[in-house]
Amino acid sequence: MKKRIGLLLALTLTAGMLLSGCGNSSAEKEDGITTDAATDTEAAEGAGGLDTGSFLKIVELANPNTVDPECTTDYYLVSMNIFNRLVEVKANDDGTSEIVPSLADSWKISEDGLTYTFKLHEGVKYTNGADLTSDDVLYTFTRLLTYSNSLNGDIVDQIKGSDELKDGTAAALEGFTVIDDYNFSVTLKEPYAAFLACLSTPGCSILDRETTDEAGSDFGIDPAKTIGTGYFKFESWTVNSEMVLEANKDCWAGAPGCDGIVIKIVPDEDTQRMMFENGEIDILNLEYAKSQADYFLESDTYKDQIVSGNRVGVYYIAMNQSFEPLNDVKVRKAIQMAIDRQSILDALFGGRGTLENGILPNGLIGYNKDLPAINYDVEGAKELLTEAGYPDGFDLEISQSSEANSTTENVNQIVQAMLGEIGINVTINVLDDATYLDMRNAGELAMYNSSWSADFNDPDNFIYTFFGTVENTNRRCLGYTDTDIIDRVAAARAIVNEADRIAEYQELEKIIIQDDASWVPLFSVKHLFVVNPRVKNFTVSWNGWSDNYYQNVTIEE
Amino acid sequence: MAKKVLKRILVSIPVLIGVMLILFLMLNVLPGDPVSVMMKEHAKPEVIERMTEEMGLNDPVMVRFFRYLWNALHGDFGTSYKLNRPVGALIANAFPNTLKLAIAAAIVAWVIGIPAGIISAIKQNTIIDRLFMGVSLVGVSMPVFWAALLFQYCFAYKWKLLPVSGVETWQSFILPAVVLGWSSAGTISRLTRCNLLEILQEDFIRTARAKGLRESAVIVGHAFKNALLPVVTMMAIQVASLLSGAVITESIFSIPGIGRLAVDAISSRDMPLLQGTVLFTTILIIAGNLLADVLYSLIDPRIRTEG
Repeated sequence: MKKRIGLLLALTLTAGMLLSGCGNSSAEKEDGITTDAATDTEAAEGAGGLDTGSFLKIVELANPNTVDPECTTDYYLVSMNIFNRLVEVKANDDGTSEIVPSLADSWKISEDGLTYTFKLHEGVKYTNGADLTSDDVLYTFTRLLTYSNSLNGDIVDQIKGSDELKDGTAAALEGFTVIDDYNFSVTLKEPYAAFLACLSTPGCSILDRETTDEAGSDFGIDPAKTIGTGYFKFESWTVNSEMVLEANKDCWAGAPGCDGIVIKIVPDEDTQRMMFENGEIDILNLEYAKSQADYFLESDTYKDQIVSGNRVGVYYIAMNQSFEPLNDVKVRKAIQMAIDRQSILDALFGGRGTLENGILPNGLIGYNKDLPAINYDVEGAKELLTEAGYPDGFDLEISQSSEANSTTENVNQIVQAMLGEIGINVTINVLDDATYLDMRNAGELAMYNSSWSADFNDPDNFIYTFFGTVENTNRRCLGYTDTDIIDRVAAARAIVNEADRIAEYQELEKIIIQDDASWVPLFSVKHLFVVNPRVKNFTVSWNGWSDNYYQNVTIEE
Repeated sequence: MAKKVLKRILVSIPVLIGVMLILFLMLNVLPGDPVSVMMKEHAKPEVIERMTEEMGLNDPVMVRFFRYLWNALHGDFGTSYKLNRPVGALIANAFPNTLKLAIAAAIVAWVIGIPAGIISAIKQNTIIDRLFMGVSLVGVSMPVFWAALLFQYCFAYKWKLLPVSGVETWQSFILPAVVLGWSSAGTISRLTRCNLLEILQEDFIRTARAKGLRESAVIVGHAFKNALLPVVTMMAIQVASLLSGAVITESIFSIPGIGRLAVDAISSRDMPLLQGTVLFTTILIIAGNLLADVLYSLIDPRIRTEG
């Protein structure tokens, strides 16, 4: 024991002695270390000893739950790049987009709009060398409907026999016929014009039956077991640190333009900005670093390095008609008129966006730019309130989650002030995130603001989601009561003639938003990215998501 | 001695169970369903129902508690709801980063804190003393997030001497270690100074000086050893808390450690992960205190004989 005390003391003393003489040496020491640091980081190596120096470096705020495309609804970055879909969406320069072949070389649609016959591209291989066949497509669709963690079953629930497969009364998907290894046909329950668009969503990425089945719940979690046909291979995933994708040089569609992608997980916005300016990341998503947007937009160095894309989505304020007095259309109209949407857009997004007057936003098929504008008119709003019997206004609660982003918070505060002008006394009710979601799903919020962006390019993705069934409008806290209109929204899915279908959607949109004033459409915005000059050919995905396709990006040293 | 340690370990078992029970009950009282947090607004009611049943969340709280204890005893700490991985593996992967950071920070704290405290005590009320105590006051008072941003801004962004964040190289740990270590150093130096000053007034120091010992021998051999006791306690507690994860520092410097796991777990109602990190942290704090006690008795024979 004595010996150990001696040792302990000796150690402490040595430390003490060493230190007493080092008034300024700690600073020197740091300088010495740092020179090495600068050289070392340049040749940084990724987790598996992979040299990631030439990789594209991008950033995410947090870990996704999984990269399994079927088991997420809000994170597709990895799945978009390591898998392919039967068809993809191509964005055109004029802001429109179209569906183009991918794993499916071609397809035929029967006259009645019910049967789709696809021909797969031959010679497509997964990164483990296996061949892509029609059976994999059948597997993908079946898994979407039956896998216990699947959240994206609705992508394919228009296929005949999907309900029977889901509830277990059928063992196979009736509407799917494998003709041979490269040909198959899909029969729908009823015509559904948005079906092809649905197949282009990342959630419908085609998976390999054998490896996916074998991986079980490790699929989407363990990179080695997450196999696709895409431009990149999933190399590693270090929780809370980074994910690495390596170029799939043998990809059937050609090798991608860069050697790989490092996705760093950085929760702090200031850190992101410093990393970008130090060259530690190549592309900064200004939606993840909102507080830094003005800095980059106003900076002489960076303002020319900004790449933007339309976010095909709409910010809206929901008004729940199951709450009094929001059940009175005059009250809802008064609220629409009392909110100065342009000044919210200016204040929160520097005016970078378009005011929306309906449900279908700018950039979406069926967008109606001729919808009458909802005008900001405080006096008119007050008159409507008086007519409705509320000359002195009333009390109203607008709810938000404690984890709401700054936009949601600011919109609520501005709306509170604006509605105050016409005598509506708005209280902002901040709820714990879990409670907020519970209450929202149960249709128990009187009012909230949020945004919805396109998963696939079809009006159905918007109008059906909010007004397609009674359950849908309740779950979005809209409490929309006109069941005739709800039935028409559902029926419009089956209109085979495209022009007729769009016309029907536009008419419904006008009734729901302009006549019934069911929500306050706010605006759609531009999604901005700051890009390091060494990165070429970066484009924002057609719908303006944070998740993008990176196969065309090249890096010039 | 061994008996004493064993006794302490045994006593800590009910403490651990108590902590877990309190946590369990608290999580149960909290509103909000983890399944809907997990799936945000996209979840369909039938999917939520199915997942809730699958995760065993429909069982009564006590059933879940004992099931958790039983599984934990068998080394199974559950699967994180959010990250879909075994909690044990998540903690095991995150801990090395936290450990490296904690060791580096502790070294910074001791290397700066102890000598600064000794020098200040010897040079009491001189310019050096005031300077050291001033700097340590800044260290103690400055919020960590602010110090982190400031250091990051100067050393990584302005002068480009160190990486802004990450854990890829050992250099990445320098900034976070200094940020964390500095504030601990402040506490340690003030404590060292204060104790040493007190000891220096004692009779035995006067005796030592009267014997004709050199001043350095008096300080190092007699005074410092005695002043060390409370400092050791502080050090052990600090290390234990550093090991449980420095949440803010880990976030700002993007270090994948225990602190970030815990925060993510709280915000996403990820109960298995939260229970795992709390259990782990509790064990560390208990171990830290135990270590302090053991070190105490090594340094001070009186405590040892009492045991």
